[in-house]
Amino acid sequence: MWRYLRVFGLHAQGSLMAALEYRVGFLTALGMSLIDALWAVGGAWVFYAHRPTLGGWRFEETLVVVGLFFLASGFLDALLQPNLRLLIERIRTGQLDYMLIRPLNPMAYATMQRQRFEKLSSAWVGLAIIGVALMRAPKPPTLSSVLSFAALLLLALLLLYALMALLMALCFWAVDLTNVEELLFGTLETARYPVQAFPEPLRAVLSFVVPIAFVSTVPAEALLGRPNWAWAGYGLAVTLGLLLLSRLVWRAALRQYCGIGG
Amino acid sequence: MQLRRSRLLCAYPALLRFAWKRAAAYRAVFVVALMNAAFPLVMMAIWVKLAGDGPIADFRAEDFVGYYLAAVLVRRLTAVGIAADLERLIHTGELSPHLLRPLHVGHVYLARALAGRGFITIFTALLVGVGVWVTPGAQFDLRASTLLSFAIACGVGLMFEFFVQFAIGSLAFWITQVQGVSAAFQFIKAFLGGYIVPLALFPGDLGRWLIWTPFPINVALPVEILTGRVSEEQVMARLAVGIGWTLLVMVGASLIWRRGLQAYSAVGA
Repeated sequence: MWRYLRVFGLHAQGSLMAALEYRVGFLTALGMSLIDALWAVGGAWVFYAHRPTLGGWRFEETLVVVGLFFLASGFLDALLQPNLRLLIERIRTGQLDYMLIRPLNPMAYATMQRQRFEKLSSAWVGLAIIGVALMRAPKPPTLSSVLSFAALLLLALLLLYALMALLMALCFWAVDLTNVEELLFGTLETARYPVQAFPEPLRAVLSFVVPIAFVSTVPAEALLGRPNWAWAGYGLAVTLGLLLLSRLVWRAALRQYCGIGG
Repeated sequence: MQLRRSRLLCAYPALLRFAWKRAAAYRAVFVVALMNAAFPLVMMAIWVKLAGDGPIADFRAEDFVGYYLAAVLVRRLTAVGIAADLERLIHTGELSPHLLRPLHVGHVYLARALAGRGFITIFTALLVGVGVWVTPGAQFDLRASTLLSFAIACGVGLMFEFFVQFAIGSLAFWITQVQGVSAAFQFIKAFLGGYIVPLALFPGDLGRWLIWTPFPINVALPVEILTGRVSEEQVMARLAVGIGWTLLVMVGASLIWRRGLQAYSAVGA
């Protein structure tokens, strides 16, 4: 475990130094995140101009969900997605062989290769939105709700990690996964607003079949002091199941992989 | 040295054929464009649920379905994606061989923009058609006169978007973050131009003011015509506004391009 953290630290340092070469990139990324956030908050604002609640959520409560969406997508864009691009490239060129000879678990190692720290701007914007939303809430969150929020947020990030690891394993069979990737990110768009705001068949699908609700709605409910532990337990089971599945698929993928230049 | 106008028309069939083949070879870009539809469809789902308690402004639940499906279709019909291409051309110096030809690069890109509507557009149109057909109460205004003004509005929207992107792409003569500028414009246009929220639903008079801005030309106007939300005399006025802005942007784009060429010193040229 310690060794993996150190390896991650080394790669992160390299990525950070590369990003610092293009400092304007940080400003551009921040500007993009701000505009994107204005979009989502503006969309919510138009809903509330016509109706007092959205699936039972008040405006500032919905803002917590919006903030969590940006937190999650910043995490995904900055820490996970660059590794997918890199892996596709390495499988295609046969460079993957150099990664496989290292004494590290290939799946863990392949997901910590490259980071794009400028894209974390979405996460900062998300945190800012959550902060503003909490300041407008009638009473501040208690310690226990903050702690359960932190635990459920970790679960959400693990869920995204498992989905991305699974997607990466699929790259061993298909060279171009643009369709699947876009489908994943497209589905994630529904996490912008509380899952209860969606009409019925869709709400059930997002809560149980494609568990996007765990990314933003479930942690937000915990932070607002109304955690739904039965549902969160289901989320934990789904996440652990996906993690296990991604490990199995990775193992199967490596068994049939034969390096191009090797 | 530039081709004379009559010779230019002869060049277009070849340009279009080339652009079409090129578009068919890079199909992945289409998918990205298709997934742009995710956010409007999310908005549609939420509006449909909200309208379950009674109409919002004059939108019933099925009107939202019609509006957003039309928006997804129009977006496919009027989208242009040349700013990033143009930026690469300028930054890498690949522009230089283009300058030697007796043909303005703009024509190559216009052909590319026109050819960017192939199989996926037909597929989208079919899906949207089926979606509207199976939703009870949702409908498009399919009279010949409406379809004619819809086609004109789409054409104006396409040309507007083309010149805007040409102008933004030409900024690459001076700055490096063109894609940021381009994406920022897309975001603002999508929000204020009816792709995310129908203009009529903006609070207060905001929607009525937005009609006079350039943002709704690309999506909102064609969509509102197709869903029968604009009266006939309004169509004329709003098309005129659209054409006016398009001409303005066209002049601006060609000025930026000309100034840019003077600043251009390609590596290796």
